[in-house]
Amino acid sequence: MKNKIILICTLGLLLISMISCDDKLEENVYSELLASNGYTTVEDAESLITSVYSSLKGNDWGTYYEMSLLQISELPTDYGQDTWSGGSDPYEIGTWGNNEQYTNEVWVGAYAVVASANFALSVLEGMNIDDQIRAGYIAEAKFLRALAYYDLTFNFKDVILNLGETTGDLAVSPQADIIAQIIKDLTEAAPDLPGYATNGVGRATKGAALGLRAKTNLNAKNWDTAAADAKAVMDLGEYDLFPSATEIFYASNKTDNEWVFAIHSDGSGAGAETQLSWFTLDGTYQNGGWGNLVVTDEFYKTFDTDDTRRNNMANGYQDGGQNETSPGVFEYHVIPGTPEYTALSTDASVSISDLDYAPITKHTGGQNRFDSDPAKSGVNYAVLRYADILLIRAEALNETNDQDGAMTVLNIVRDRAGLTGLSGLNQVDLRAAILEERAKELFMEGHRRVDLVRSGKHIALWKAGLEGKYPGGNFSNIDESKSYYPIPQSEIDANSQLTPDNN
Amino acid sequence: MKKKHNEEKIAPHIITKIVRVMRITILLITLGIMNVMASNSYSQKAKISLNITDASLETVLDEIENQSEFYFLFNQKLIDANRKVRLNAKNQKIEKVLEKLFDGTNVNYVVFDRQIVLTTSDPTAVPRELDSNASGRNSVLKKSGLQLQGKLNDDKVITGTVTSVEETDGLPGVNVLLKGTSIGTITDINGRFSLNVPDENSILVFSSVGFIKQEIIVGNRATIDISLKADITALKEVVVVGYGTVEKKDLTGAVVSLDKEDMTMGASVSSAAQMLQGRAAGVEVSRGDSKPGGELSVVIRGYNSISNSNEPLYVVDGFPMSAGVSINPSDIESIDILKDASASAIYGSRGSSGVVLITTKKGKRGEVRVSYDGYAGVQKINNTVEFLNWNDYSTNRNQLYADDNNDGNPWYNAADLAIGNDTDWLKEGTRNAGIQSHTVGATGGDETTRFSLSLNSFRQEGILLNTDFNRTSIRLNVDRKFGKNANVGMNIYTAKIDALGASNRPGFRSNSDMYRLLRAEPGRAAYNDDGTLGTTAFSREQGGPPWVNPIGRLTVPDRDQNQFRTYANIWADYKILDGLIAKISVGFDNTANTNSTFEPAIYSAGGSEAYGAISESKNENYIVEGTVSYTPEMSEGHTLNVLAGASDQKFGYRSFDASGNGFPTDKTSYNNLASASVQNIASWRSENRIISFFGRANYSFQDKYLLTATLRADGASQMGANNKWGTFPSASVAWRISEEDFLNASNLIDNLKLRVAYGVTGNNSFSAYTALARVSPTEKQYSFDGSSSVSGLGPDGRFAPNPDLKWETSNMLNIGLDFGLWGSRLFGAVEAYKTQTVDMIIDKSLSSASTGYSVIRANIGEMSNSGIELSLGGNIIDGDFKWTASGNFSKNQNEIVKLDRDAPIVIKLAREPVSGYGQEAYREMVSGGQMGDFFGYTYAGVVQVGETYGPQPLSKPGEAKYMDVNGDGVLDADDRSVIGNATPDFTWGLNNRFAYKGFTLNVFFQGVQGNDLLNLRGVMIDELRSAKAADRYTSANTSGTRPGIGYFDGRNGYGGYVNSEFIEDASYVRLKNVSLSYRFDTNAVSWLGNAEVYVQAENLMTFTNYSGFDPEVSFNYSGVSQSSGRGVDDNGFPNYKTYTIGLRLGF
Repeated sequence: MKNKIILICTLGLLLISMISCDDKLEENVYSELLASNGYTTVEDAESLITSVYSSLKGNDWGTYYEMSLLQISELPTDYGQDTWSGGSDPYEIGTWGNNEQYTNEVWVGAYAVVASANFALSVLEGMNIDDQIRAGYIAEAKFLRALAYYDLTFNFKDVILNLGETTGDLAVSPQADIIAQIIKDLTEAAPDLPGYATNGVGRATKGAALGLRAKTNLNAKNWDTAAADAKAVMDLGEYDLFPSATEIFYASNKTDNEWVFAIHSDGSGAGAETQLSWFTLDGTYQNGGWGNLVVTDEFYKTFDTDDTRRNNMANGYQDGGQNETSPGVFEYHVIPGTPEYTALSTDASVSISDLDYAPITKHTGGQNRFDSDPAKSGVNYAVLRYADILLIRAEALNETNDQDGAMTVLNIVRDRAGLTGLSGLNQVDLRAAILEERAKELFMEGHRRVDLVRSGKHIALWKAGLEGKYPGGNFSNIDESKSYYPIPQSEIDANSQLTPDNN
Repeated sequence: MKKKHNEEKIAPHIITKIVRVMRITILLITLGIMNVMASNSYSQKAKISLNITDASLETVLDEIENQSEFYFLFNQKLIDANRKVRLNAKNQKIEKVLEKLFDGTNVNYVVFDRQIVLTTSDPTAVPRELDSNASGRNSVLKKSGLQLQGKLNDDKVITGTVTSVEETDGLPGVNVLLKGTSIGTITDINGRFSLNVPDENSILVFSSVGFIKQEIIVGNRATIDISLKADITALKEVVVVGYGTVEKKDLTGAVVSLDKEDMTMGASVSSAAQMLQGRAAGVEVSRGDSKPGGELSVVIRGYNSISNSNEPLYVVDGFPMSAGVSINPSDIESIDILKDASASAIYGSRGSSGVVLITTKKGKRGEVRVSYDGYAGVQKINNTVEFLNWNDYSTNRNQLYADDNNDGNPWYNAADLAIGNDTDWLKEGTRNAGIQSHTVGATGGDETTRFSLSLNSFRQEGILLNTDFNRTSIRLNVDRKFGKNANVGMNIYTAKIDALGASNRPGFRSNSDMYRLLRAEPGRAAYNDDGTLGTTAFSREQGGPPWVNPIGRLTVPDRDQNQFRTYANIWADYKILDGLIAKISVGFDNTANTNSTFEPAIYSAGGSEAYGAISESKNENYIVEGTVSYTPEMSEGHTLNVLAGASDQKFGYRSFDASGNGFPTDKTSYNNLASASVQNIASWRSENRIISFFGRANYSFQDKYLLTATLRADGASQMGANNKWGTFPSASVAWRISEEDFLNASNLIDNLKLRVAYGVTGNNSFSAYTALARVSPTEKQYSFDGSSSVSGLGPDGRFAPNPDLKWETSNMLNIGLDFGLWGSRLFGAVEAYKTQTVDMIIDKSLSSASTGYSVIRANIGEMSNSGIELSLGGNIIDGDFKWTASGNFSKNQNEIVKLDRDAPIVIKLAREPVSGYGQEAYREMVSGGQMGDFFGYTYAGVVQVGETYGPQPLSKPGEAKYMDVNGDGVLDADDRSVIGNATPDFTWGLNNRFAYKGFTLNVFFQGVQGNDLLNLRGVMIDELRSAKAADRYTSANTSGTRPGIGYFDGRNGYGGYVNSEFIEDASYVRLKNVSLSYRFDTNAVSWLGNAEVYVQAENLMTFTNYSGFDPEVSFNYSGVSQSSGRGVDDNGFPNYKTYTIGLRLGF
């Protein structure tokens, strides 16, 4: 009987022990961590902020800052050209709908940065680490959030302002509110960010925060503050222009102090690359890119022959020779500093034909050919260059009627390109000159569409470019409604606060 | 010694007790738990003191008899009275003394009052020589206490053998009772019995579980040989229902109970799922292909889930398996399938797709019996596709190319055409493949211990070269009784699988060996004259990379797949009080998989660098389970049984993968991955747990009105924090109408039972951590300094955490009617059911801008299934020649009731059927639709010369036309519509069994009606290779009924290959299994228990309009879940016929 009692008690205890089992149902994670307990040390905070930076590259191959942002920023412009299917690309000719790949990717990618910055800010708040270190990370997160909102509001105009403080669907906010938030984040971030000497080019710096604030103010046409912000960057004394307007893009110069902020590629390929080379190089290039993102022949021809920046393109010639290892693939080499393709073949029978576009060699990283993989070119994806800062200051000064001051700054950029300085221009002419200078200095770096929209000449110049490329084409579909992209349909579908009118 | 006591001196009251004890003994033997009997007052009081160091047993017994009033009865031939013993006892109870005295011997003892009967452990171990001397035996048996009788005068000894009608060898364990008394015996291992009866008018009643009871008047016979008939209405009277058994008559839910006879036992049957195909109403079995050892899909009563698995829960000997079952089919004793919610609700959140309970063979008491069961055979491909020869192929291809291109260069030039090969690639890549299986088993036991042991070796060559499957398995089931009230047992199964795998993974098309085989040009040579692999190059490829010979792809790469699986559980039960039994069980199920691959450069996916990989994974599953069952004594007419239990089960998964590209040599195969120039590693670990409390009550009143209620509460770790626990109740009632007085006299109806059941079950089969806010290393790396890159740690931005996530819930109503007519000549069941699934898990799109995530896995969908099932069995002819038949029919209707808003769930092909064709969507699930709906274009013929087809203004003659379904005058994606459905209208199975003397013929048909397949293989081979390609429209064949230009690759801008031409009716009727066996009469051979030879053919004939290899395939082909992607005939392993010859022996 005693045994029975023991047994019953044991069974009873077993049952009771199972009842108090809610904690046993908590999940143990191994290959991942829980947001709630994943971050405790400074190393974790570093890892956390790295995740925000890496989200700039989107969540899939070639998304957001790997490539798609460049597509939507450069194709609907005066010089942008798509070689893939005879100009049918909706971005080039303005036939986009509200469910297009690149705009979707930028929307999702930029909001992923917003979300991970919000997440990082909320986690950093609660972390028990040194206050100064924390403040630095918070500043970086705010910079990255501001950058994402910059891309959102200047591509989609009125967008959703999510600061991670609410749950549930949000309605859109006016562009002015978004701009105010960008400026607020950057203003809060700048004091806590270190300079170029500490953080270099791939990481947010005081200069990057002030520079992005300058650019935001410029686009918001806050000319005074834009000029002041640009000057603040200049006054940091950390940046100058690299002597060569071509070699600044070489991989070997990717950490030069002309770069204020850039998405680095370490040149190892897989997972660490940007996709610039793939898309801006002609598909006929040796191991080359897909070449859908090039500039028009007309644009190439606008460059003065003295302008060294002409060497950042390849004037289009294609020969009929064949690559000896891959039959059917044409082979070309690009000699740095020489814009023309140079045919490897010396066969006199090879025919050479003119192309009507110019592939971009800015992003070949100074190599004269890719022996393996363009993704391994290791070049920067430019976000802010010092040349851009100077041009921002020039434009802002011109708009505040300081033409001399503007030309002084502008001429620093022209001088580096091997051009003579401008003088004596009135505001209107200088405005046009600055816009042209921006094109020649910054083409294929993702600024053109926004520059044209700000100048008010977007639609006219874009149309003119198309009519030049496709004589007889009808581009009446392109009007002011194409100044911004529609909110993607997937967002409208999923968000109860949005209606089809938000398109 | 008083052992010579005359029986007459035994006081009458003792006799009564003896008889009572005998009754209990029979009962306990039947239950398989016989040991020491209940003692009474004298034995409790009497104390013995002994101190014997070295004496014979006889001396000790004498001493005990001297000291006390005890006296011993035993058979000196069975009990060794001269055995030397040693004993020291002070004032101990007789039981203690006896325990010491006989510890370690085979002697058993029964104490009633002052009498002690000694027997050997085996009540049937009677020396053979006694058989001929009935009276001598009788007296000895009396002394042994095994044979006792009510009257001690006028003894008449009856001996005989009980056999079954089906089998000629003896039936052990049959109860033989003198009618109207409690006097009786049971048959021994050979079916023999001996019993004293009072007179010629005595009636003997023979009964055994599963057989029809028979009564025989003794008359003047001394020997009674009798055959018992199997009781077909209750082939297995006891049904396993999860945490226990019930008698079939007491069932209130929808349970299909299959024993060996009801299952398919063919050579190609390597899994439990195959044994069920076509055998049980409501159970649909399909598979992706016919690969040896390939996995099958089992769906019970339709799909209840879009995102989760619809596979049933498998429970082997009470142990819930983590996924699938690896088992040697010949170890299986029976399978019970819980179909409705009232039956499966005891498994709560894992019950909504049904539960398959597998019971393996247990030991039998008696001598050790050794058996051998083996077969060997050959498999032959079932090729239904006609291919073009080199001449027809090259002519056709040249014409197609010329029509589409104006370059003046033919695809094959004269030099190519002169190559004289005409290779039949399918023939070169396949073979008549051998198959064999050998099982050696042993069972046996005594009153305290039983065991069953089996060793199986199964070796199957694949009909595709280099696709062998070998499995070696061992099973041991053992149990032992400890003391009066406790039992301890253990089941262990371990299996090692070594397989060679052809590559047919989803992913790159070039990974599929079948694709290469079926697309290869017949003009190429499989082998060169010197026997090496052929590499003929055609003009267009001169100087290019070497052509990949598909035979080389099959035979050269190393693709070794190894699995080692062990599951074992140990259990103990204890009878606390009469009717109150507690049981605890602990077990684990561990599977370790290692897949090793090495592909030399030209056979690798990229074709440029050698590829090597080792991929290891481990599944671990542990369980602790306790139950208490109580059967209280109730007043007349009422019976009640209640069960309560708890369980705690944990599942772990770990994986480790290493792979590399670019090796300095092929000779080290995958054994030196470190030498690869590019190396990748990956690892993963996850875990989940389920804790449960459950209970069940079975109540019956007057055996007519039955009530079952169950309740289970499950807590599962992978549920959201706010919904960890769920409760799953069920209730069912049954009315045994045939027990009512008004039907008692009926000659027509002898069994009629109406059942109504309602229950709630769940589906928790989604992966761990789905509900959590997780952070993990980012996929993208970021470079801060431009020279190195690092991953961060953050949320992936895709799946939002969902703390409210919970199981899908299915509410099922089931109405069933069981019947047996004309003395159970015809019997069966009809079931009707309706299941409403709510809280179905759907991936809902989120506003990524507002939430930072794009998708949340949430409980938002609804689905319904309703259906009817019919099972019928009949003894059509009974006599020397017997014909029995059984069949089943089931029909299920599925409807998707609600999804996330109106957003359809689109299922795209996971890869292109041919490079360049594109990955088209083939399914759009919408509210109001069905899960298996195919969605695509409707083909409308070929554009003829001079014809302008309005909706396709750019189409040229020879291109495909599609229906402008929406009538808007333009052919575009909006013209796609539902063009078929992958789920059958109904499924059925029919088995006929004919027996005459030792011969038995089984013929099993099985069929599926009204299901469609997307014939992706057709898309792949009908372009150029199959005979259908010759019917393509060309300028030389303008009467061709198949399109010439575009069509397959969608290049002409209209339509796509997912169209009505490639959605084919895959209804079929299949002669699945035919077997003919002969059982030898082994009565004359004393050492041989039984011997049987058989021949068997599988997949002998198939009647279908489907044009692919096999209408039975149903590849699950999607990223959402297996079931939502089903219905695609991809490049599967071809189907085959199997012919075997087998032998069964029992010793």
